[in-house]
Amino acid sequence: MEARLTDLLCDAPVHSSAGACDAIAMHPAAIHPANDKVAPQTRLLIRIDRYLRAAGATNPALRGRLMAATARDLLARGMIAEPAWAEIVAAIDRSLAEELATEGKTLPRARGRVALGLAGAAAPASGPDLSGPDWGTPPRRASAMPAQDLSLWRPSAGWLLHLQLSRRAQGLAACLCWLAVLIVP
Amino acid sequence: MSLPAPANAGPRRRRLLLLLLVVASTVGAVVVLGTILAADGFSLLELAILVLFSALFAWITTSCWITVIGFLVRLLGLRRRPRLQDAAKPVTDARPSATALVMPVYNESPERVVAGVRATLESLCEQKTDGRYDLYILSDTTDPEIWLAEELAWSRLNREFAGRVDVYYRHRPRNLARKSGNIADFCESWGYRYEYMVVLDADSVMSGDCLTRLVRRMDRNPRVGLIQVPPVPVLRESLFARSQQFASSVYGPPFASGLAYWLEGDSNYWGHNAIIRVKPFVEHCGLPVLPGREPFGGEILSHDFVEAALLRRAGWEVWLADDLGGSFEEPPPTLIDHAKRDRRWCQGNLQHIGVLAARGLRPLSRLHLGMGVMSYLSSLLWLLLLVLSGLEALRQTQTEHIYFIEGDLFPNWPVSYAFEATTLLAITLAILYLPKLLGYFTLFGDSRRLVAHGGAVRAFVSVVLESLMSILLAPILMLFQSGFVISILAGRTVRWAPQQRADEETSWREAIAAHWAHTAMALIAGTVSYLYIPSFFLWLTPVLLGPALSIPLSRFTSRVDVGRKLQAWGIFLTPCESDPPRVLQLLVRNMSDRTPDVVPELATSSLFEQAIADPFMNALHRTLLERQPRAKSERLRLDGLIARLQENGSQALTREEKRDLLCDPTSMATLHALAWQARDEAPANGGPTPQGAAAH
Repeated sequence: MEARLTDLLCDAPVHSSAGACDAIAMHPAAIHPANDKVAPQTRLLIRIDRYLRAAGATNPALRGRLMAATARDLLARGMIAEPAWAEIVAAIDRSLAEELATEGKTLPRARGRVALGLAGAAAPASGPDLSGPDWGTPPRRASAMPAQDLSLWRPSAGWLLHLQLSRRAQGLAACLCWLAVLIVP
Repeated sequence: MSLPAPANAGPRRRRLLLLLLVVASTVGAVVVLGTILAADGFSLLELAILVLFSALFAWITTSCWITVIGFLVRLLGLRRRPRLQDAAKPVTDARPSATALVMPVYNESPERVVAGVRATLESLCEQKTDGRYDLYILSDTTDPEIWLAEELAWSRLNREFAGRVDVYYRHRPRNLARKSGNIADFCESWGYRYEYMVVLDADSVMSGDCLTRLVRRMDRNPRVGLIQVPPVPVLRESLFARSQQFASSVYGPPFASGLAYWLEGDSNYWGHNAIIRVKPFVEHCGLPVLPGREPFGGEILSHDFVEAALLRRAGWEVWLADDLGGSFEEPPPTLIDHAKRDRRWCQGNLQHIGVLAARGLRPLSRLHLGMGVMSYLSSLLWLLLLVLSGLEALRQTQTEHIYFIEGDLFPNWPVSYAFEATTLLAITLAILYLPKLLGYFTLFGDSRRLVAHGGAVRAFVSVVLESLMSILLAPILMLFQSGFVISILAGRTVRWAPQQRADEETSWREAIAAHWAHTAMALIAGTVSYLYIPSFFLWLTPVLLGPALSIPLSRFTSRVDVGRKLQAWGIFLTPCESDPPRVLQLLVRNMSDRTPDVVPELATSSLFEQAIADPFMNALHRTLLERQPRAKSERLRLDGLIARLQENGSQALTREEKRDLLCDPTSMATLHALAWQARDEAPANGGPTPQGAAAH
């Protein structure tokens, strides 16, 4: 099975466009993955091809390379016969991560597909760390905002004990008291 | 964070002068009214009228005097900033500052948000900037479709500004503490990367020049914790919104100058279009949950005033940059939308009653909080004053004057107070309309501004029309706000709803639903006063006319064609319409050529279905999710949702259930694989199946 699969794959897809990849690339809609007459390996390649096309891999050379890498990945994991779509997608993501890896950094999770969908446009140059957990934001560093005290001010009579009035103020207060006594009644 | 050396003492003399002016004019008016009311001795009713009148008179006098001071400040060229320096950063400070532009969004139109962000960033990129600027879209969106549209829009923005400005996107699955919680999450997670943050609203636009000058001011003034730039309302075309835009453009500048002149470093924060020093904000502006139940307890809704008060309490200065332009926002398009926004603000401001007496706040911070409370409470006080005045008029009509008192030989002639009453009315009208006139006269200080407002004649006609509109609309708003205050005092809370920002006209149905009570009240009050107190009826007519006509008025003022027609005639013209600044031109261009992000093959399906089936969208969404550990029971529930989706399609799920699935990367990966599996099993077709998971 391995040998036959290797035959189907394009080992050097950048330079060679022969074999099944080419056929699939040229007539993708003609062969349906559910077609029982088609060999399982071919069906697998068709599935990968269709997925990569939907993911935005319009370049045949790139697509061929990715198909080969994905099939190899699945082969290495012993999932060649009829792998589930979850396994295929995971393998495609791994292949894409390897394809788009820069400076030894691998793209986590499904980020390769995003890059593919964006037609190879890179993330901001000085922006997020590619190996970080979140692509949309830089790495978090938790520093709590402490809740402030907004308890109510209550008047205290303590200041009365230390109250000191100047002579002038005392005189003024006395005058006001007298005026109040005289006028208010 | 240690505070730099203290600056000079505050402008105490100016504040004392303003206080004296307000107190003197209020005392004068109260004495005149007291003389009239005391003709036959004070009754309890008259005393209540006098108290209400004094509170309301002080309220309107304060804004009048602030405008007068602002007018004089502008006239005499006193808008210098001796303490808030604007010069370039000294060369000795080698490290350029990093600034984050943060835009919290909540179920807003992604196209509009992106158009605004793009305009701001394009304008910023046109500037020569020293420091680093990053932009964060902080989403609290709960609608799955809008959430996914935001992600697509972000991916486009991110690509567009790659290498120039870093654009980040973060979605919070749980909207803890609403907008303030959203900003707090940013500060706690990424605040360490920045010296300053500029808070933008979803409809905010700021020019690059304004942003760079704000950063420069912060660099040069290390004691300043926050600078607020007054946002100018723009871009709406309905009659109501255009009159508001005109009023803000003409009357706003002298008022803002007056505020800035007497407040200086004790100004306030209005929630957006402001630059904030991140470190002190993190250290001193964490908001507590207020004790008690909503509406007065719980999370602080109007966080801005409280945050400014907390910054001031910690010793940081808060400034109002009235001299900076390039700060814009969009006003509510209709009277009903204005009222809806008021309902939200009203609850937030009334909640400040519980913060007013908090320990350690500066007196002016308490004044800001008090004025916020009063801005809504005043409507209820005004309504009460009208009711009490009506009762007093009724009492007077039913009281017969006694000409001969027993034991007195001379007749007791009635004394006329017509002169005093007319004088008081004239003073009140002057206080209400003087700010408008001064705003108009301010235009003559700058010929370009005058021309941009349509010239002297058209601007005057606009002032007259705006005044007439405000005479009609103010009583309606009074009734709205009084209703809000009463419902809040009765314990009803408000839900968090996004603001209506597009120009959508009010339908008859909406107008009747919103205003039938106002119309009924006006008709009843008019009939009663006409039948029982005919002399009072005439006085009441200007107040009753607006509410009586509120239904057609609300609909008429929401009309965009009327707004456009007046614009063509040069009425309510503002500089942002006649000579729009570059950043607004960019915004208009972005809004006109905005195209929704969709996967062409899946254009007919919802974004939720696209996020399941489309490899790019699914991957984009999953990479933006933060992994959260889930309990086994939660995992089982999500699996149940997946099964339901497979059996009955996406229509079988509620919005909340879709959101739950979208929040879980594992579920999204499972659904994606199921969709492609379904495609294998379905008859041959050309593209990915949007209903893949459902069809399986």
